[in-house]
Amino acid sequence: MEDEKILDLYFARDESAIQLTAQKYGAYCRAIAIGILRNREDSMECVNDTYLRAWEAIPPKRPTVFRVYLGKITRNLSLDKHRWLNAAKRGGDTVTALYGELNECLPGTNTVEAESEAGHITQTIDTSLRRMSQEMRLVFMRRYWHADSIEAIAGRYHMTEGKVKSMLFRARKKLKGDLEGEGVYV
Amino acid sequence: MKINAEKLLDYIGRVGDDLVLESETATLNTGRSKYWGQRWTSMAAVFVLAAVIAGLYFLLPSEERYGVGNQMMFNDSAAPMAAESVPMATPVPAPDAPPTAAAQEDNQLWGSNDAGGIPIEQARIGGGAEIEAVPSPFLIDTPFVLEEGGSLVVYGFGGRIEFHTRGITQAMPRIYFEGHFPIDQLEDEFIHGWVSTTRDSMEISFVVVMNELIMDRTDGPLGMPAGPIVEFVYTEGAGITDMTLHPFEFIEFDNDTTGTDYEPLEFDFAEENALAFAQLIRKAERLVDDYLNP
Repeated sequence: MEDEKILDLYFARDESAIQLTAQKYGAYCRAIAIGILRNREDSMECVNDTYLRAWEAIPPKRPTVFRVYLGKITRNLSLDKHRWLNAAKRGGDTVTALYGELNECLPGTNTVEAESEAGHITQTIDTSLRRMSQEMRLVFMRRYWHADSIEAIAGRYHMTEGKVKSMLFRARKKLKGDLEGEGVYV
Repeated sequence: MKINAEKLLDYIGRVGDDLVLESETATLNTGRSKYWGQRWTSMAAVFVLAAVIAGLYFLLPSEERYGVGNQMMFNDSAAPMAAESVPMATPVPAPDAPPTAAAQEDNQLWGSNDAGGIPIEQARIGGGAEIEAVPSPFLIDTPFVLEEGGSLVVYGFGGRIEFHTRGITQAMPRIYFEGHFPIDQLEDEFIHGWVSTTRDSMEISFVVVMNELIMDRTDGPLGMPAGPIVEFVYTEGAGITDMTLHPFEFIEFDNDTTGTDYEPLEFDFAEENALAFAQLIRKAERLVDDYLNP
């Protein structure tokens, strides 16, 4: 089914929209989640959460590219899950819970100012990526958006792993320069 | 404003949808498949030719087999071709032994020759490396010989380059740097190897070019070194000797990958970098030793 029709079902609050989304994009979302989490169960949890997030956000949101919209949600949820799992390993559930609670007290979180800064940084990254050669950009995106391994990227683009590493190094350096040019330091 | 890597990863996740789609759907025309396809075709032709030559070769009287009259030259423009040299008139013989299993691996090519100087009986190149002789275009799967004064320029990423001469085996293994190199981070360094032969030894010059200098341009290499940075001589039994570190002069290409339009560029080759190169050579030496004496 076309994305527009699936989105219409979301707008009509028809729950079959979730089932159709899972049929069409389940594997895609799972691949993103597994790429980050390397764990099937955790990945499935993130993918199911992705459907829930989409259900909650649509409407009023109507994504222009539904596939990428779902991919971004899955990626964010997977990264959050990964952080949570790592934090749990380090400090146990209690400390993790404390971090989570105190995080809400931090100034600037979810404020207009913070969103503006985030938008500015994202725009800088976006522009920097567009200035790169397509080859470098694709390698960068596969690594840092999709969390592909060096080996997988080399295989995908018929390059040596050394070349992939080299391109990533140069891409990171370019990005760093562009970010610093905008007053953002990593 | 300071952000950490974790936040940066989040922000990367917000880039334009078109960039994400591109990364999922775009394919790169690296040309490698076609390139290797062409190479394998050429290689098959060389094998057929070698088989025919082998038959003819063993029909010759033994004293004719080792004659030095038939020579094929690939000379550096800086080292003019010897006046007595003539283009090879007789096809080259087949190698004494069939290609090893390693030589038959994917992405590996080999060639053979036997004529004059210290012939290179097999040359094999692996991975993504390319090989070129100056001044004329040259394919490694073409039988060849380097005469005294001749030179061969080897360049490329990846792989391991080997030269087998009658008395000497030379190996130029890939040298990987793990970020300890002070001149930026030569993870995938660009190595130029000059190989030249004398009557009793083979000389290899390594030139390690900084990635940032040579590749940081989308339309081709930025330039190349004007000459070798590090040279050493390998002599059978003695190993690598006479290492020499040269001042580094860089030739910058003027938006022209052929190198025909360039201006010399002085490069500040600091002392600490020279020391790093010395470390590099020690590492290269160990790698060569390991390779030759596994």
